[in-house]
Amino acid sequence: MSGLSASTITSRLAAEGTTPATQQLILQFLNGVASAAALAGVEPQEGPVEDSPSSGFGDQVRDYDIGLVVAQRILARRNGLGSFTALTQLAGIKGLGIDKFNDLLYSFTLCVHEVSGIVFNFNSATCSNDALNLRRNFANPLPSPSWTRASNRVARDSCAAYSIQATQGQPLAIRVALRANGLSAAFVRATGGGTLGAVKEQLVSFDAAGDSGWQSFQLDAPSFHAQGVRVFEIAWTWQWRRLPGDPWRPLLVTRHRIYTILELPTLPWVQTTGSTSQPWTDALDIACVWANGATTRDAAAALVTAGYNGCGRVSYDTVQGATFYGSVDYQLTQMIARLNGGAGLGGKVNCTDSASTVSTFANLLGCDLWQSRMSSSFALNPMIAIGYSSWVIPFSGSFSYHEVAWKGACTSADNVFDGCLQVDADADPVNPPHTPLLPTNMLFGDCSTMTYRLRLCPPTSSGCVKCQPQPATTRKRRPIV
Amino acid sequence: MDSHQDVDSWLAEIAGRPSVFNHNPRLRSAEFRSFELVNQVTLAGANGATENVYLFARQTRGGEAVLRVAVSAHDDTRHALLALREGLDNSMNPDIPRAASRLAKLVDIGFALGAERGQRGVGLAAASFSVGNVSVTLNSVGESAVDVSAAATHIGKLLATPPDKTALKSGRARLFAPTDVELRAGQALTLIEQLPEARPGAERIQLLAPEGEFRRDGTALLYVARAKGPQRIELFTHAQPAD
Repeated sequence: MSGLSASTITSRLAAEGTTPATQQLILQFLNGVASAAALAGVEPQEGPVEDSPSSGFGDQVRDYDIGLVVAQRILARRNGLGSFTALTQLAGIKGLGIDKFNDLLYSFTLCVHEVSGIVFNFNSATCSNDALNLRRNFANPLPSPSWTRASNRVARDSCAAYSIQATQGQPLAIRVALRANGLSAAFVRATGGGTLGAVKEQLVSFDAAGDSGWQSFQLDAPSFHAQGVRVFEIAWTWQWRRLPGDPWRPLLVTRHRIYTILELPTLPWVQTTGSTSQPWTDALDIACVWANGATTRDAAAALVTAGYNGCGRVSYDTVQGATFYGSVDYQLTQMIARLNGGAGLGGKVNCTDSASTVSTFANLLGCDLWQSRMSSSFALNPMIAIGYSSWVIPFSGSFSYHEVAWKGACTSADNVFDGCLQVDADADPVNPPHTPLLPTNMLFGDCSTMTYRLRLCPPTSSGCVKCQPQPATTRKRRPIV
Repeated sequence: MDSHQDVDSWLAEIAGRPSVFNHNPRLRSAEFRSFELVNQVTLAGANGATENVYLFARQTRGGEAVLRVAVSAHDDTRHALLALREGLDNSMNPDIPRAASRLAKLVDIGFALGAERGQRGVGLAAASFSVGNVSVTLNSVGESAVDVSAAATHIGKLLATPPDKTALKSGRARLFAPTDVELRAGQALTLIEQLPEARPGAERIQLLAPEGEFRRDGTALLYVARAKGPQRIELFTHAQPAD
């Protein structure tokens, strides 16, 4: 077959009453399709072009539409032209006869042709049935809707975060906007979705212009709750059909990055609309990797402490022990830049920087830590400072103060997470040999039992006795910048 | 550092020094030879002031050497000293000594720490000081240690002393006609009604007087005489490229 003539195509379009909108959809498809395989799909009856059941050859049941060879010829024509501007330009393509042309018309005359947008967080006031309020970082909000046809190419462009506690046992939904041509209603679903779940099939109505508006879709059996803190990427394969018994026809694949955290983030993070302290995806990218798999607050905080202490991007300021990432505000933007390989505010940190980092990243996952100090000018046991591997007693043997991420009221009876240093784990922290132990969820304690306090300070009047919690004046959560 | 330093005693200590005020002090990307500016960030500093933090880096055989400089302009000398104390109070080393020698002569109040043992050729590894209304900290924050002493002296000189003849001749700095006034002790004189916005690329305004005190009040800049008698106030502007 030498293909159709231009006049045959023109008369066929007139006979079918093919609208300009349908012709435009076919042209958009032919100009946008990436490969012959994508155009052809898998025969029979899978792919963007469907065999018209009302015309052509064969038995009309699971019959063939455009195959790979003809698809290659169509793309060769397109490449020769630059792009198609009229369907008559399909004339003369060998193998593209009236049957296959009818299949093209059939596929686009009555169809759902576009997922226009996807919203994960459709109720900013709650997060039990949808995603949390997020932003990219201090300077940039996330796009809304989370996914749009125009703006999303990779998963990171479309992010959503879910609180495990808030969504446990609750139905989860997303909102989706679609466009159709010539249809008043169709069934739509998405397969895939990993542990977030597939998108359940739903009947969607379209207005005269082909718009569905925002439609709620339920997620099918999300299973991320048991897996704790995670960041993962999902793909949804969107499909539609006119009637319940019809085969599913593909729409497109959308990709998304999903964060699962334990509970609603605590201060400095907020859910207030418009606040720059809404959870940052730039911070979630780090915190969810550090705390991967944690199912409790204590486990998450311990993993964040260990992740920070072992990050290899910062080391202790052994000269001054100065605060570099903010004593008034916490310069989280700069710390993230540093952790991601940039300059940040430099490679040196002290205990205040470390307490801010551990508590801020942990609280992003739903932990409930504070930054609080102990003081003053107390003698020290040997320790391994962050970024180092040897046991030393810093400075002239004492700290003027020390700051940690601390639970509860930040008193002697509360536990600490210290990302700044490792203490000696054995029964005699004053003398060698020393066994390194990162203090995670360790009781601050008193001077009579072997707790954090006696591991940090010797049991003397200049050591443990002077190392007193100072919650009244120093317990805080620094605002993030 | 749990300094509990008494700002009033510092003020008493520097009472006889010439008075200095710098508006919009900034560093250039090429401020320090052989160092490249790798980051510059404006932070919220103590007492509502903003702090410009600069990271200058260079590669050495021992790894990347990074000099961190933080410069913050305050309303007056007292607030600069409060910021200096705030920085010391947020340092874990309890023994930060006062700066000695050249740096001490240039600045109002200064603190400095030597390098650790084993870092040959590094004199000072950290310095903090105030000059008039400006507080400055310098730290070595890279893999390889940086001697901050030359940079500290350079910045101290930049803030505390009038521009040299070369700068004046080239037009990089300008001297305005000195203001000669006769004031009573404690009498305030408005020198500038509306200070320009502090921003990159704008000029640095530097005022020097043999005694008295400069003080910012809102957008105005005042001079308060310490003693009765004639006073001469010099005003310079320094071009600062926006980089």
